[in-house]
Amino acid sequence: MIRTRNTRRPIRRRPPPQRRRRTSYSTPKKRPNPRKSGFRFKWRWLILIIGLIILSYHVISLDIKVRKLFEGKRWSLPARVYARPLEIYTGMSLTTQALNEELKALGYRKGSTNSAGKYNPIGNNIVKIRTRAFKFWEATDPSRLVKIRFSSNKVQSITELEPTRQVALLRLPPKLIGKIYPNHKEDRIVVRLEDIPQSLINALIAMEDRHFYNHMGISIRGIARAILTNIKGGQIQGGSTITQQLVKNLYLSSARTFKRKFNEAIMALLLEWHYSKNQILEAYFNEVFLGQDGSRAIHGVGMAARFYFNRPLEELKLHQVALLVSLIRGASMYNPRRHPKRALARRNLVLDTMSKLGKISPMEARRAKKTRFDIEKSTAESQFPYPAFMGLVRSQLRTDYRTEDLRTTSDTKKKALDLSEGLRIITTLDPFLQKKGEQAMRSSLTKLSKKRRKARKIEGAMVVTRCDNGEVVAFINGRKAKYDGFNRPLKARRQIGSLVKVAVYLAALERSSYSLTSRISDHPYRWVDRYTGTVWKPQNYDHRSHGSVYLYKALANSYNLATVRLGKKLGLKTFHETLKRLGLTRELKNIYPSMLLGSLSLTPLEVAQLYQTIASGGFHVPVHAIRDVLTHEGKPVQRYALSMEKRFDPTSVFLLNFAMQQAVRNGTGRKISKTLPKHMVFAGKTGTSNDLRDSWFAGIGSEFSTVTWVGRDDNKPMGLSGGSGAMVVWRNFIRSINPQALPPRVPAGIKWRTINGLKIPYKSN
Amino acid sequence: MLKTNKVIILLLFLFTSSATMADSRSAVVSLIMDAKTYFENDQLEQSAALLERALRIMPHDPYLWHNLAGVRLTQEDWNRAANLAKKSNSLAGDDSTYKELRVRNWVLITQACEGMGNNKCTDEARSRAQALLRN
Repeated sequence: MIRTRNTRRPIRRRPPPQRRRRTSYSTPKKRPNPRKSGFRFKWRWLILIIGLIILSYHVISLDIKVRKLFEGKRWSLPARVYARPLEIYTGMSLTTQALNEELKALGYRKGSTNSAGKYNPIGNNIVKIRTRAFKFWEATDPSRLVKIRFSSNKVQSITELEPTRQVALLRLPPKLIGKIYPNHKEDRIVVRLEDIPQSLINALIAMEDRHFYNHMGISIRGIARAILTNIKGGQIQGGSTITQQLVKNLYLSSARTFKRKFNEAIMALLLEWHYSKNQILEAYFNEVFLGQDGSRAIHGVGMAARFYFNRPLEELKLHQVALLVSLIRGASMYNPRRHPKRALARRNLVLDTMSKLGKISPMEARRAKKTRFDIEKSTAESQFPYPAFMGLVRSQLRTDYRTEDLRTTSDTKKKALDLSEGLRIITTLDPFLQKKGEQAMRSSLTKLSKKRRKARKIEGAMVVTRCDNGEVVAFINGRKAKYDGFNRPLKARRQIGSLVKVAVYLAALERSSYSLTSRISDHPYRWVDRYTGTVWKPQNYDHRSHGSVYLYKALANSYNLATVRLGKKLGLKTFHETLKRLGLTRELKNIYPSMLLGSLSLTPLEVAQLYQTIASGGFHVPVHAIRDVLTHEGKPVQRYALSMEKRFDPTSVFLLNFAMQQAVRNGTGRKISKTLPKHMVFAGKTGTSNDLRDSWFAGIGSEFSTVTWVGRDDNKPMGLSGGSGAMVVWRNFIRSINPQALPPRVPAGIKWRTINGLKIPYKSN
Repeated sequence: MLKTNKVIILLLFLFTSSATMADSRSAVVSLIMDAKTYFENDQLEQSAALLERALRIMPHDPYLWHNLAGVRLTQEDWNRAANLAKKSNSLAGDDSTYKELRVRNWVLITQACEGMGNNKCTDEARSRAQALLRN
């Protein structure tokens, strides 16, 4: 009882909350409370509205992304680097063979000149060319049909046909010599839809999206089929339209997630809403991934045509078009170079499908199926032959710009250069001279290395510049010029030996108290470091002193004692200043007397800059490798205009040049120069470092200034002096190019006197 | 300033044309004529680019250097103009056929020095021009 009572009591006193609630709500059940039903209704709609807002926001943000990327930069294009364009003019020294080589290197084909990019040699003295058009920054050179007539290895006349007229000058388009890739190594040639063969469009639509022209970006049928197959456990299917594939390639990852698929569908609808089918198709053809070449990714049909067949897209035949389309499903799986059988089967499937859909006749399909691949064995534009020069181009860009992938500096004062926008960089490289330089280096080093045991491992470097404008026309790195290894002309810092002496003699000749015939002392010399007590006693190469000598003879014979004494007399500061005025930019912490004999280490490029100032008659001209940087459309970004600064009086440099001519003909270079034609006038200087570790020669003609280095990479002695090593390479190069080598123009204020049968110049005032 | 410079350069374009015609280097003449057209249309950088092309063919022609200096002077690129004119003079040497050219170069340098506001350089260049005219 008690228990019953006890249990009842609390129930009565404190009824359960549910019951109470039920009681209180029991009334509205009979008479519906508008407040309660409104509360439920609001939540449902609020969630829906919030959901809609989030979805709209998502769609809008996707829309912005789609439009921004599609209308702005869509394709990452590497910067394309070109050699100098060949200018052909009447009276120019040029052989038919050299012209044919140039045309071949440009990818011109021999044969009837009915289309651009073809040439036809007629006999030994006539070459007919139909040039390709090229957009330079200051003018667009159109395609022309020309006939060039040669006589005694010179251009006799240039006749333009259609309409017939004589022209004085013809500029050929420049050769592509390299590419600089932005971070993602994507390579492509952008093509417009009108340049894409109809057969390629037909093949793509037949294989990838038969209803492309009818859907709105997504194919419901395709999605349903994909879902059904996936549920049945069959092969996973994408069900993607061309638009969806483009969206995936342009904006999304390849992850197979629901979110990605959802975004892809929305973006495909948006893309179709904003842009025409043709715009989408064009973008697809430029974006699609079609192959891999090492770290380089081949994107777009334009580049793929070049990569697989080495020809422009518009020249492709049906079987080649089918092969490109067959690669879309798996560029690696159907790679015709690696898996020819698999690729052939896939290509034939494309042809069969096209035939089944009536895009080609069965006869065309059969004929195309019988044709072999026709692919190039080697991958075109895969490796370029001038890695050292390309290193120089990169180095110059790095000096002048902040660039995306070349960024090594945080210098914000420099202009930014986006290397993903397909810039066109016109350089100064002359492929003909480069080839001759490489040949001379290879053959000379092979011969020299057989002379001495120590010289077996010798390597070399050569920098050739134009005397008057500082353009680097050839940049040679070692015996294997095509090997992209240590860039010696750019980076090998080696002791320059007697090459530095020109600074001492130029400093003297600038002073009115010195002339070429001044007597200077070549007596023994001794220098004591006042802090360490170290004694330095330099010696001449022949270990003899020559007493009192003419200044020009001291330089020509590279006397060490005379040079040190002269340098000390002028002052080390003057010597250092002269080096800086010649173009030395490297900081030297301390200047020692031994530096007067070349105990300072510079790269061949730095030495080339010093000698450039002498070669251009005392005007400092920056040695450079780039002429113009243009946008993808050919508008100028930067011109490296001809620039110079008068640093020395031309008369002083003229006198120095005379002494250097004596060095070549009668001094340290006499043995080698005997094998050069007598009419050629060269000024030069040999250089040898301690223990014959480095062999240098700097040679100046009226056209080119050349700095050559020979030595071992491990910096061990190799037994060759400047005259017996580097000068031999230079001589062989000069003989192969046969340049103009006239005496320098005599500046105002020079007179001549004859001493011991030799006409020697002097300053008249 | 602009007008004066243009007169100087146009005269020399014609002068150079006849000089190089005799040299049968018609390529250089055709480049100079095109450079002249660009110059007259105030497309100065294009004009300079063509003269640089001509200089690659004939790097020792003092007229070409002078003309390029003239284009740079018109662009008010004073320092470059003065140095190019000095280069022209160094190639002209003592040759009497180039006397007028040397005078023009010194006049051009005078103008460039004025442009730079360098009185010492202006006076020196002017006196060099006058000395040449006296001889």
